[in-house]
Amino acid sequence: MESVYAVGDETMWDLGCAVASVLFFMIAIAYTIGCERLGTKEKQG
Amino acid sequence: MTANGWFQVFFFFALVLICAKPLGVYMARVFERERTWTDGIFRPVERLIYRLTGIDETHEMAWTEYAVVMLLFSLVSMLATYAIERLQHVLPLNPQHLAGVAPDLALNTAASFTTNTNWQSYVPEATMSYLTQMLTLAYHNFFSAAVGMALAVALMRGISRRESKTLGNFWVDTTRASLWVLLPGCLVYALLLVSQGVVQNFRPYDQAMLVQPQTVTTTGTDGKSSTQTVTTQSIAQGPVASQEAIKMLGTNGGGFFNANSAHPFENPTPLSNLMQMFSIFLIPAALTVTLGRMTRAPKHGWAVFAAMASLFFVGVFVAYYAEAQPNPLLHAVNQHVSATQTGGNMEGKEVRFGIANSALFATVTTDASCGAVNSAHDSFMPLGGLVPMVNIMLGEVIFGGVGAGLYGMLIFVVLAVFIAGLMVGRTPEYLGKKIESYDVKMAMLYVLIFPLSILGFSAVALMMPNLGLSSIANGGPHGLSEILYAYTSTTGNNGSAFAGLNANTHWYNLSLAAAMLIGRFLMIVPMLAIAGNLARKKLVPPSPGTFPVHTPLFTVLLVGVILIVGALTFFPALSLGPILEHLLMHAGKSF
Repeated sequence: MESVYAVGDETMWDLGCAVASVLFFMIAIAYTIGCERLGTKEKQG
Repeated sequence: MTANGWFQVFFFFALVLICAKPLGVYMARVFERERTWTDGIFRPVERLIYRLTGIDETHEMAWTEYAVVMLLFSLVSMLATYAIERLQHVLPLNPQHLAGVAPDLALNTAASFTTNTNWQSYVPEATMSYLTQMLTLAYHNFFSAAVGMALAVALMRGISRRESKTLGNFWVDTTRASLWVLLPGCLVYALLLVSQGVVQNFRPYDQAMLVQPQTVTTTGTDGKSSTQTVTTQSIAQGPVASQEAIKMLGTNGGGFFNANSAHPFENPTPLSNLMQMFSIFLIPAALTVTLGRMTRAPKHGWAVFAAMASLFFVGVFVAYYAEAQPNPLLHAVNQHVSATQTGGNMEGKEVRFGIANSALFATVTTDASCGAVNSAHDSFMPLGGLVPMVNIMLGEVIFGGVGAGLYGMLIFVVLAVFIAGLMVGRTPEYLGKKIESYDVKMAMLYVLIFPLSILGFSAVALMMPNLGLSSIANGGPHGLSEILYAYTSTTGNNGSAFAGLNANTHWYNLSLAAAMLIGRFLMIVPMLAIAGNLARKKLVPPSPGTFPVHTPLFTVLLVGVILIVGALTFFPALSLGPILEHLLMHAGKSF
């Protein structure tokens, strides 16, 4: 199959994919902390 | 439908039922750290792993720590998978000299295998080297399943522990799931598959001369046509049996070959087909027994099993019935059962499996979040194709994925108990724990993320002619089903494809990757929050107003809650897809 990516493009794609993956998991960790805080808040309320 | 077909369905389910209890009890002992007959082999290995990795096996984790460790573990292994896919052309064990995987496809595949989905937007034998298949994809097949089991066990501990801040240790649970359950199971299972003819080698692909050369006309990207005569055929090889074992036992579903379990090297005989279906259901069914043991409420485990079994039989009946009916558009063809005719719809099905085993396989693989296929779901009759889609839309809780099915089902149990409590005007209780507003909020978060991803992504894809619609092979309601199925399968971490959709595009690779990550991790977090909250609670003694969770009434209520939530959420989309297609087919129109 013919590649639709130029060499420079591929580096940008790799970088983008890695950053997007890390970002997603950081959001998931923030979401975990958010769920925990909601629990603490409910208990205090 | 035939008596023989139904006999095979009941024989398959009887096997699952017989094996669920011993395996479920064994897993309970493994996760409760009680003595098992395999300790002599695995305990030294386990100790060595902890010593090498510096893990303190006595350390107990709060739900937040459990979740964060699981997320970081998944992130690191997903990035490593991406890197190996991209670099496979310079790495060993690549006898076909396959190129590095394109970035968007590599991301999609890394997300797919990390989340136990195994959606494949590529032809495996023409895209992935042996090293990639063995080092990354098989690795995820083991560990995504082990993580699922660990999470289910964490929820069970949350239910059974009293006034505790912790749920166990993620590393210990994952290691024990892999060492005590998945590894020995796969070793025996792979040998059984080899005995049936599943290949296991590192040879380059065989080249066979065609008896009858074929003339093929192709159109290039520049629009020019070229004709060539094909005289040879590549016959793909590889370490298939070892991959196949964990593919099924871990409810992963990603095929070594593009044809998946319809390929004769992956699933050669009716016996291997039975083994594959059995291995999909084995651990998820046994985990209901583990639930009963760990929560000291064995009857509750069986009540959950009964709810799963009821939904399974409804699905298999509808799928088998729909596929066994003659296609009304083929007036001139004899489609009745006879000595030379299987009857019904044989399009997209392997002759060696027939209609009963294709309908059963499709039901089993979509009840559990496996996604392996032995027939083309796209070629099913509209109502036959509706069944796999509905199975996934119900949240993959009909036995479900390894671990994931049980924790998904327990979220519905929380909702069922809450609704029962509302009906009698009492604070709902579940196995002695009060279900309060925070538990219900987290359960609703879990339930709502799922349709938000499926319907949201499907709507965006349907509104974009150049990105979403350009990939479908069929118009009308069937085209809608192709897109809806793709996002349902990925969000549900199932991985089976409806076919007819070219998903190897930038849009689909990226949006389906996002759907898989959302469907796995953003649903796990509220589930663990419920587990952590339940673990902290005191035990309330049962009273006359306590709703018993081991009776047939509870099973009926649980099934009702699952069906109502699923129907309310997805019925409008389904009515525009497979249901409309069914009605139009009877009016003489096909797509």
